[in-house]
Amino acid sequence: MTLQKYLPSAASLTETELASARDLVSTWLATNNPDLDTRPGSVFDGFFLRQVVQLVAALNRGLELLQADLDMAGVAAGQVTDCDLVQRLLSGLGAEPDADVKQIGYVLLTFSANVAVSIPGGTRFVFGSDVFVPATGTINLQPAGTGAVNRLVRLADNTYAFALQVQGYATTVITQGTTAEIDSTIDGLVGVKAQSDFVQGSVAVTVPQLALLATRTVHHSGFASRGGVIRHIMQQLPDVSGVAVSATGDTDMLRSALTLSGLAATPCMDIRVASKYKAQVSQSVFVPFIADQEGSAVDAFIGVFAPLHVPQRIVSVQAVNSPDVTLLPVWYSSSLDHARAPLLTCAFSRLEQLRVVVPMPRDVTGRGMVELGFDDSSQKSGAWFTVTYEAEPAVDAVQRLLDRDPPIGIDVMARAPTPLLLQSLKTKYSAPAGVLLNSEQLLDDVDGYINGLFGSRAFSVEMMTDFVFSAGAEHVSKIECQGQLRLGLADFVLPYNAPMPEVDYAGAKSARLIVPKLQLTDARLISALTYVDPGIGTDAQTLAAVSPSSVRLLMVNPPVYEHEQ
Amino acid sequence: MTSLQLQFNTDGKWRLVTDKTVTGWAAAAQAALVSVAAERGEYKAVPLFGTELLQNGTAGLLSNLAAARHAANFAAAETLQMINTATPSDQWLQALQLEIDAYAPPRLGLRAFFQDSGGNSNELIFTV
Repeated sequence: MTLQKYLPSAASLTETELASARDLVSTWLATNNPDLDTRPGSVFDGFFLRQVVQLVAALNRGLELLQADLDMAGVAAGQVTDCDLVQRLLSGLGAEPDADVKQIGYVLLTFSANVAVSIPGGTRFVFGSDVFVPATGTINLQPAGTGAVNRLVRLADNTYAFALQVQGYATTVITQGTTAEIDSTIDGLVGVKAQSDFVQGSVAVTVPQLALLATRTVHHSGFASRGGVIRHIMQQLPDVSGVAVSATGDTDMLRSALTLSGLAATPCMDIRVASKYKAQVSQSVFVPFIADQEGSAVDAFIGVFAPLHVPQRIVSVQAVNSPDVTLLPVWYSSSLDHARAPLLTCAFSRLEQLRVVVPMPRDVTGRGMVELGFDDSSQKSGAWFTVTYEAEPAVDAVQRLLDRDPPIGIDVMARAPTPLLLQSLKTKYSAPAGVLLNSEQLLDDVDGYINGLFGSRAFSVEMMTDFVFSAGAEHVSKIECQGQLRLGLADFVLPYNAPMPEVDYAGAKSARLIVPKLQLTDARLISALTYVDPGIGTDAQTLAAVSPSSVRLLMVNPPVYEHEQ
Repeated sequence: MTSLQLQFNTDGKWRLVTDKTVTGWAAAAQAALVSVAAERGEYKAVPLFGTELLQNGTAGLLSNLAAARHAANFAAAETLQMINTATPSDQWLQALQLEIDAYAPPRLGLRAFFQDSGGNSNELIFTV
């Protein structure tokens, strides 16, 4: 701050300001010099006081401007004198301006060996002339198979990968599959390419906009309040399209209900995040084949699936060597930390461990239809499967943010939203004779609307109807909906102390609990989806819970529009 | 109130006398004379400081003796009020009269009569 920024020109001082300053100075002088003639026209006034009065009036104005800069409500209204000062002040409140429009995205790093790797924070990933750096600084990756959040994932035999979030200022939009070059050598790194289209990040935020944020909530700690969490994450991760927070006391926060009193030792908070884009990932995994366990036939491939990103929906599972064979995979969920997030409270988070059980398909002669192979790494026989799934990469980004700056006194966990899979959305309409429905525009409108929603609470049947009208319909008679709300990705969840299926499949089957899947047939109910496990406190409890703010709509099949005469 | 002394001359010039002071109603009278000779509006902090004698003279409004006398009377009344507003009541000027001593456009010779609250009076001839 310099005084020069706050002092106005002498010509801009008003009569009122000058008269007020004169009163102030002459009164102040009279305190110690009662005999001094300060009257207008006096010698002291003519030679000295007039200039002092101007200076004091200017200082008064400057002080008012400084006070206005410290008043965030005034700054938010657009009155800023010293932007540098206000920016430093806002920075102390956690509101940081972005210097420019930045892009953010994920690069897929592939490695030839399963070893610990460190990626320095300043590593430059160059796409043509555009430079990106790791969004969260230096990342130390652990080998695949370890429980660390930042770990390699085995994609195929001798191929390991990690999806790294990067940010930078690009002249073009980086598209999926674009290869990048790096300016340093990382052991074992064999490939770097964009995993998905990069997202244009937040635009430059003006000082008044930042002040408005600061006046709405002080989120210096980032996790002090529900609104503070949302704004903190939206600011730190501009590619996030939505954030919902469930905290202790919410009906869908069951991590707090672990004690007899219903109060956990520390307050809990789940942060549900969604990205602005869908990421569909195909990942190969070697699954050991288990013919039997202690004399009991199993005849299935059973193994842990470590996804690259937190999955939202499994699209398909195919045997790599027999892609045409129909498989009937069964998914099991278990918590990696039963104390923090038991049963389905870990669903769609990094604390959830997924296992896939693929019964060996056999032909009429009893011959196995999936060819067995041997994996040098695990020293087991089994088969490679390609798992294709829709993923939510923002969960890892938020989890890394939490790990980097862990909130104190509160147990915060990042999760993907609970998916509502819309398998069918059929609209019956009529249109004037000769008018064709503009289906292309309609599908674009609906797709953009559904994908842009975060929280089913915002879903509106009337909005869907409006899209049909604007595409040329005259009357909409009915919207039929077939949806499934999945409280977990897996088919079954394994309670604490239940045997794992690769160890005791029969025991796991007897201990497993069915993950609730709620069928939905009325589109008007989408905005009011609420579920809390009715079996809480019993042996059958799954601790599944959801509220409308934490549901994300996923279109499985495109909507259908049926013309009625 | 005490102020350094100003010496007003009939040729329209003045001089600061740094080794002499004026006090009481004399200091008030001195300030009043400065105001009479000052241009109204030049001192934004005190909007009523100064008179319109100078503006009127340069604008040709004091085209005859009657007009000059009228303007001088008006300036005297305004100045008296302005000075007393900024003066402790025990040092108020009881009266201020401005009479035309010499009418020689664009110059105007004025004879100023002051009287304090105790009945003491003084007079001074100066030129604006």
